[in-house]
Amino acid sequence: MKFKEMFVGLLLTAVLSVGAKAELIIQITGGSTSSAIPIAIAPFEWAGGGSPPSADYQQIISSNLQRTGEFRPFPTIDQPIPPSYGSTVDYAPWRSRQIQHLVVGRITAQSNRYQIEFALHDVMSGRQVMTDRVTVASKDERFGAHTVSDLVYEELTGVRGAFATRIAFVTTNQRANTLQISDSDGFNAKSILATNDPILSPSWSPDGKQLAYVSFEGNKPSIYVQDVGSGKRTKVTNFPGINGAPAWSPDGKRLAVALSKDGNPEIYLVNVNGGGLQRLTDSPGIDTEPAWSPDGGSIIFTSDRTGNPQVYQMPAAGGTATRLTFEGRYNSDASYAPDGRNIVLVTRGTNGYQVAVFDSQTKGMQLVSRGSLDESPSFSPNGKMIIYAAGTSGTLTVVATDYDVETRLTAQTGQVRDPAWSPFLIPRGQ
Amino acid sequence: MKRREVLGFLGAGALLSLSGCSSKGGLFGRGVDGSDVMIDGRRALDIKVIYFDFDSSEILPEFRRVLSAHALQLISSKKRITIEGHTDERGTREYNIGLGERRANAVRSYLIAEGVPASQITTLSFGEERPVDYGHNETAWAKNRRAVLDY
Repeated sequence: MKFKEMFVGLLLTAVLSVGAKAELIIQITGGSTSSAIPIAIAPFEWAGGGSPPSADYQQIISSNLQRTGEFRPFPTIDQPIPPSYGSTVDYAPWRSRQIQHLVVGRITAQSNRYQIEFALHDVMSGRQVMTDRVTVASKDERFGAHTVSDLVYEELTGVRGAFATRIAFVTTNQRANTLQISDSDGFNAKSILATNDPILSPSWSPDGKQLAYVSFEGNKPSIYVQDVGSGKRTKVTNFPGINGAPAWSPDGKRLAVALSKDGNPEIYLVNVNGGGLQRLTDSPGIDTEPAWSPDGGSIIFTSDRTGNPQVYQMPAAGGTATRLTFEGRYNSDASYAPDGRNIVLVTRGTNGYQVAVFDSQTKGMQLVSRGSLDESPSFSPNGKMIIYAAGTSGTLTVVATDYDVETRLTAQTGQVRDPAWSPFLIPRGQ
Repeated sequence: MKRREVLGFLGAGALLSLSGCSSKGGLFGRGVDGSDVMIDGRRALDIKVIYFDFDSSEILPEFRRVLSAHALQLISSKKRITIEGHTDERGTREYNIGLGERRANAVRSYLIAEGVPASQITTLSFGEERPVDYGHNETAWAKNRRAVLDY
């Protein structure tokens, strides 16, 4: 049993909001496979002390666990009457419903903060296995619930949870585009840029505080870096031709980008302040969509130097590129899983453009999407989920990498596309 | 009609030499600025969008005379032109930005071969970001795979 206290609110400077809030509509499908572990999140108690909480902790945590495909949360109506927080639990009624794990919790208001206490019980062995306490600013209640989800998930699976993270994405409604940031479950969507020109390719800094992206403001593409909290931004590259596909290096110092200033798109490195330009590729074809290996040692990218787009790998310091993909005539927009081995990409098959995971060791390719215009995939920072854009419906889809469950995020109006999952936002070791 | 035939058999090289004697009412009269080139009953200069095959940046035969007429106009007027390259929605977004640029560059190369100074030409790729038809079918895609002559 471990006990620790964390305050997660201070790390979350408010996201600067431009214009109206644009909530996504969230819909989970699947997720009731026979292997999913039955779990019950009891309604969290309100212990008083100030204004009552506005977040539904039980619902947020249940929904998070369901989206992984690994758990089957019981709705309140199917749960026995929950024990009051801190009291002795009678496990028998939970056991009789085949519920394997039980989470109970209590919220206490402290001036402008909430303290969330919770405990995880192993129903089958009849003991409490974990208790913990998370404190958040009142405005960050949902983030507190995501942090609790992370701790429960890690206790049960041994894998760090990635619920207390964010996603960046672009919405399009005819000519009107916005760059938005939401919680990892699609809630709390806020616009940080609104323009009638195209926006594409958001990429998170490794500390989750800044976004690099391409915007066509002024009728030409430039790469910008924007501070998510303050909204302050700088133009990093503005060369003639293409300024595209920024990808933040794992050490946070540089961007890998695609520039066509010398005739056709090539991969370059550039410092985040715009200096230190270094060219990495030299091919007559299109070289674009760079992505870093998690250790920062190599870069994978798309090149059609052999006639059709395929994924290549080269040292980040520059040097010979090696072709990675040989299956099919179209493989592009690749990025690494956190394990540095699996690569998610877009491949063209008989059904059109689909998201697939390519194993860089076995060279095997496994489709993870079923659409015909799927694109822009990225891994969650724990590698257990993939988010991508489904072009035919104009929605985002989140799939569990190992389980048959998907969550669809739909904009109220227009299309939503170009998702990018943030890194972990709470430093390890608190 | 006669002038159309004249333009039809004149090679790029011949047009190039014409640009050197482009005084008003010269050898071919008004035709030297491309303004009276007609294609299927339309003024060629009114055609400012040309289309491409899937995954291709080759200038299709039916658009070559359109571009030749624009080349004459650009040479005579010395106007600056921006060539926008566009793709359909299939494939990944940044790769399509590259493909759109390749289409714009194909048009640029054609105009330069016809004698338009490179300094008059700017290219801009929007990839799949600016469709004219939002459908997810071949009819829409065919309309979106295009280069736009903006001058």
